[in-house]
Amino acid sequence: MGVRVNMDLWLVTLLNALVWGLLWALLALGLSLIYGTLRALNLAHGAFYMLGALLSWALTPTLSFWGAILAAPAIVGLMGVGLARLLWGKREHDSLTALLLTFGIMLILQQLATIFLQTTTGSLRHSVVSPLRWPIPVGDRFYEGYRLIVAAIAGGVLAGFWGLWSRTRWGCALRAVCDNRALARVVGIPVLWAQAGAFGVGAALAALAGALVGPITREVSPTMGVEVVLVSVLIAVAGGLGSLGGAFAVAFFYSFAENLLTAFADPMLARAGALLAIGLILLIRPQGVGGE
Amino acid sequence: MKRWAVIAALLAAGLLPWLWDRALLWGIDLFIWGLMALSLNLLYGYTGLLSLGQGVYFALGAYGAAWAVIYNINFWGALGAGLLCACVGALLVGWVSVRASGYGFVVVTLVTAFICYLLALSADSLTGGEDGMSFTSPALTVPGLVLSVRDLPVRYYFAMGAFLVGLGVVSRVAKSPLGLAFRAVRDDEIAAAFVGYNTFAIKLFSFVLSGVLAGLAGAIWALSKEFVRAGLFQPFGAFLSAQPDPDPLIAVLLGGAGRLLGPLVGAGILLGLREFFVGVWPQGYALAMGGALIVLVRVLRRP
Amino acid sequence: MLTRREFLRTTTAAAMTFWLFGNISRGQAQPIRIGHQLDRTGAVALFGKWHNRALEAAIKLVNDQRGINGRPVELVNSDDAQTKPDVGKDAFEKLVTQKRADFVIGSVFSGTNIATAPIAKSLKTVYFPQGIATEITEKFGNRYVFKSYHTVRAAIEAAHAWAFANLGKRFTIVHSVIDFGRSQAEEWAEKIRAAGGSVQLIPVPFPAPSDLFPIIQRIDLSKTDVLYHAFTAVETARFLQAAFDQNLQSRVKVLGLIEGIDILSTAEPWLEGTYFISGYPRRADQVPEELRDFDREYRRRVGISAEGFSLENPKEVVPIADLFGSWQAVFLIKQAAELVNWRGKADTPALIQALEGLTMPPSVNFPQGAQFLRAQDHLVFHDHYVERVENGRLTVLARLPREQSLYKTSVDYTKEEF
Repeated sequence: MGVRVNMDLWLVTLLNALVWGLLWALLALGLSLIYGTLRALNLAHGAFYMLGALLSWALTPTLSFWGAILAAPAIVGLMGVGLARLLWGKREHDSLTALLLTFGIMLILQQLATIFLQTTTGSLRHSVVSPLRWPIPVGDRFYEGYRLIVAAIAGGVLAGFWGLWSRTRWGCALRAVCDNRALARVVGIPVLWAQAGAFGVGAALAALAGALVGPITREVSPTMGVEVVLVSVLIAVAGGLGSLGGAFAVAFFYSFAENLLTAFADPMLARAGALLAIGLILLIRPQGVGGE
Repeated sequence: MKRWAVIAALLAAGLLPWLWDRALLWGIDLFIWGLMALSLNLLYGYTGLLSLGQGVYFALGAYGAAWAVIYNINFWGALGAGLLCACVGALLVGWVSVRASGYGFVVVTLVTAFICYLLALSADSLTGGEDGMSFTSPALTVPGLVLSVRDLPVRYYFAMGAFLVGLGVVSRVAKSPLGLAFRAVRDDEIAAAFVGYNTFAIKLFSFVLSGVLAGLAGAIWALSKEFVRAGLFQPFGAFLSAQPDPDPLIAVLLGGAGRLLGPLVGAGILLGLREFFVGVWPQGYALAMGGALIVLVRVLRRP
Repeated sequence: MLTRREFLRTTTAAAMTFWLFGNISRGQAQPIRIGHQLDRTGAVALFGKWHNRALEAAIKLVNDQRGINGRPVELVNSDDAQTKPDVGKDAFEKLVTQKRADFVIGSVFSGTNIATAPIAKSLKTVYFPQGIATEITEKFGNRYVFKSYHTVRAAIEAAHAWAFANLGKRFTIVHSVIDFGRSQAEEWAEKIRAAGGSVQLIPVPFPAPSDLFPIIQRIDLSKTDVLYHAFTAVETARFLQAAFDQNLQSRVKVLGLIEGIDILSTAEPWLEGTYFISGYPRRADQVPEELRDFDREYRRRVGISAEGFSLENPKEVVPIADLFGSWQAVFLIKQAAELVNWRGKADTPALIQALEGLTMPPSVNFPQGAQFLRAQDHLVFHDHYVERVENGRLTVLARLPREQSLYKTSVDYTKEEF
């Protein structure tokens, strides 16, 4: 009985690590993509995540949950494109200025969400109901089927993105902008539009993660993105800013570390421990796993 | 800067408890957050290093002082303990982070701040977690007087004194050859190295000094409020609150990075805005801050 | 036609009348100010709002009853305490020094109460904290601090025997690490071990992590009869929903303090069949018969329906098991102030002595029932209830008399100086 119980625990923990790994990958990938094309560390990434969750929650009554998780990232993505055109449309900014701009965006988006929630509902924290209840038996335990659906969706989106990135002309153009902006311009690639597009895609990926995560965390609030951006930044940096493969790998590393530590070590130390582990990666290889 | 204006301002500040005592609480906030902004100004405005994790040294200063008090160390000893903790922390983090160039530096400061926060939360027997730790500040002894931080004017003068000390330090350093070195590194690090400056040592010194100043602000805060909590470490932690304390970065940008009194002006503007918005439209404050940041960044050039 | 002389005469007379009148009324009716350390934002914002309403209603009732010693009472709200101990402490200071509050009803957040207690004493203002961590009256209280309703230790003292007899002795306690949660974990662990039971403690960081699934996985069901949870209200919902995913509610007995769900509707599947220890029944028909008239009046005045919802917004749950602390605090002030003919802060020490050892009979002022305020630790002792969610509604299973909640206290504030 003892050995069997442990096997179940391992299995559900690994499953959960997989699901969260894919969610963090969505976030870190978006951040890395934005950095690669804009050379801007997007501090507003958590705000996009939050908006995705909030919009999805707000649209569920009219569009059904599945409609909402399609609509929310699309809306946030378009908004991202618009923001990028607004702030980077005329001229380019150096990295530090760009960082400060995204900091400002983060503040504004967070406050707008707060004001919206406060005036329409009077409360800043709202429960999110899962669209389905599908407990999958794993030995003595249950794993919520919704999470596997999340994994499938996230995995599908990531795979689709990877396909677009590596095999289409659009992806090629973006890669060119990442590698050498000046040269890309010379070759005729509309750099400013490519950047805005990349910002929009990154924002949409973050928003998708937020929309999917609602029924798992069971709560949306305007401040839910504050810590998410910090973890995503660390993951993206440890993966090598601009390296999508690196971001993907470190996202899983973080998720596994956190889940395993919570299950088998001390829950109080799980997050700090997982982050320290990633910090160690950075100490050993400061340019990140996939960085040059 | 007109001399008489400065003297008038100093007089007004010095006599505030008799002129308008309702403003004392506001004044204390002004000096503490002004000092905090001053520390970031030294690092960013003068040396060109943007740190998003200054809060760590504020928190280290606060906790150092708190723990000293809990171990029955006297007031000035506690203050010193806070400064020491902040200094050591800044040295350790600085050693690792100033090697990184521009962007990497920002990220490292942000990330170390986040990790420190999580560690502080986990070690809640040491830090009190989000509940924090209350303690009773020892008496503030000055030759001839025994004072208590429970008296509002005492807290006020204490904060003002600390700010003036910080201001004095920054002013002296700015005018010295070291200050010149800071600005050299800020303006063109490669050229500075070429000319023979040890840029690593210069940046590290700036980092540690600004860390100590932030620690001073934190120690004052803790000894005045007789309280510390883990949330002090949290980067962007202020923005989880409905009425955030003045963010040092925004204060520096508002008041003028690289200018001596810029941070005080910036902190003052933010505090004034906060007072205004709280009465009229509480959520407007953070919105105004974000908007101001974007406008400032677009309009101003880097220092 | 009004001549100028007549005009001047009339206006002067009018002005003098107003001035005289103003002087007279000023001389008579200096209001007594009761301050509220109010959290408008943060985790306990909803509690703060309702405690404020209860205070308004209580003060209105006091004023209808001719005030305190004939003087009207007015409520003074603090700046937002933001569920942050340092901010709450500053708010208290401003309340007393700038807004001249004579007494202060405290925040619901235990951390804020603990941080404020020392300056309540230095500012010589009687403080009624509404948080329930045991340390508020044990380690961190003082002569000026009074708890107008229970602490964690009292609730556990009252209910543990029932819990061990009816639910089991093998506990798994999943708790938030803030004072509120840790207090419960430690008190229960002591009692369980003394009774020969077993206890597994699972601490959870505050704020709780986004995904509670891994935490739930640590619960060893083979060693658990009772799953005890200690979180703030919003986190309790998330925890119990995560537990429901694993069907835990039907596999073990789930127990907690009512403060964990006080603002949540019980018509949820993840609350069905769970047990709670409370100081006040949510539903009017569960209130003991002899108290029903007082309860009805109390609910009417504060704006609470018989099922425990807001009369203005039937979807909003009112934290009624919490509120009576604030309501009663006002009447404690009134009763003691009238006993010693309190006229100003100089009389506060006498008022404190009147409060120490006070007994309160059931009435609309004390709708919870007969209670007493123990002199040594300044804690009010009252009856408790064990309630269970059955068919979506809280039903009282047992009533635990106040004597059962008495515990040995390690402090004696009566020996403290003022």
